[in-house]
Amino acid sequence: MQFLTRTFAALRYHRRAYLAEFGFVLLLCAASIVTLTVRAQGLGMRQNFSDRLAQFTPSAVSKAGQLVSSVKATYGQLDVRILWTWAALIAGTALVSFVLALVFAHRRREESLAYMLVGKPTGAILGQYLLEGLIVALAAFLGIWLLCLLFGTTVADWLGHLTRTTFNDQLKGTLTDGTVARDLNQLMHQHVTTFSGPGLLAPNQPLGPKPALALSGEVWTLAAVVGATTVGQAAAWLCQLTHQRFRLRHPRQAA
Amino acid sequence: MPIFHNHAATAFQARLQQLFTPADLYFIYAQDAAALATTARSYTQAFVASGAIKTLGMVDQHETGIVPYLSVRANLLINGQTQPTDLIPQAIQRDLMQLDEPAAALTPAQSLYLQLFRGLFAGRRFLLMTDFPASMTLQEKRYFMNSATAAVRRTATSLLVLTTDTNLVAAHPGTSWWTAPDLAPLTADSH
Repeated sequence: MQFLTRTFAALRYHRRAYLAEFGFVLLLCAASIVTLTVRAQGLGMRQNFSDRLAQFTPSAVSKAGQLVSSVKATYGQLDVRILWTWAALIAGTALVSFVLALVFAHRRREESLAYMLVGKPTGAILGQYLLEGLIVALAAFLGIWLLCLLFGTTVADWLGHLTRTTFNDQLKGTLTDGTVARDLNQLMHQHVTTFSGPGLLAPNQPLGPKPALALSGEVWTLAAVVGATTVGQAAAWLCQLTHQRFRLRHPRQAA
Repeated sequence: MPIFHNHAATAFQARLQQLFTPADLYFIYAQDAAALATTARSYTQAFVASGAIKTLGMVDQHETGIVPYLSVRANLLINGQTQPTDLIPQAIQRDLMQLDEPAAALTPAQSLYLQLFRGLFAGRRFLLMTDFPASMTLQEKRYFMNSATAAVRRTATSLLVLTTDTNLVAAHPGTSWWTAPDLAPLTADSH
């Protein structure tokens, strides 16, 4: 109970710093969810494309081979790019958390020294500091999750439009409009479909019950963003506390 | 190595018992602030080296170990509570240390009381105090010493006061040293 008392007292005492952390994690969670939602939408479109393509005979598909391979390649490139973006976001989160936590740890060195002087082990001090950061990070995630519940559908629709636009722009970079139109025309003449020509390449989500959360990646965001923040902070606190503990045990002699 | 460590720890404890029993205030003279700091450091390291650091509490005017965002009560009990709260006399609670106030704004004298009782509540066998703050008057020092004497005798704790004040040392001839005693265990040859 005393451990929790100290933790919440510290949160109140350092509220400005923790409000900044709250905002920082909120933004990162939002960026992560947006990125993962775009990826999920891209994967969904790709799957729908494959499902619709399966309605055509292999010979028809082979006649539009250039288009089909370009579309598949475009989806693949987009997916890889999004994944790298997300990975860079998480790595950046850990790095920025480390640097900011190092600055914060330096500001709290008197407090850390006080705990050491009363005999608190490094693990207990580190545990308290990490719990403070974790509480704030989880609160920020909860905030973004509530925003997703309230505004997720609107944002998802806008992101879907963005994903489709990005895909089309990427595809135009590999194929001319003339080639796309020609191959699509050839395919559509082979089979009666329920969708239009362009509806094959970047299809909308299929009809059916929609999930409660229109945005994707909440669980991955929780694990990765909160995890990266905590790991960055833990590394910084460990450096600071270890250094202080060493200085306490081996004080510099007066000249 | 663990066998030798236990033997050394036992010998160290025996030496402390020999020097600082019964539970009381003990004054150790230091020539100046630098010598006082050196003695404090060497005593602390002796406790660490003998594995007895958990029996030692510190009372220092500079490195107080007081957490500013905790209340006085939370700071007092930060290492647990082995004594009842009435260990702190009502007069001190009323006049010097309101338990539910934040600890951030304590005066140097109030800080000494907090550190003293923090060590007693934690069940420390020895408390090492590095002199009185210069801002404390003689009357305040005397009141502190009276309070500390009553408290340490009740808890079987010895308070070792390192001081540059010759008057304090001279006033307590039975429990004082003009030269800091060596905490190293005596060998058979040195008896």
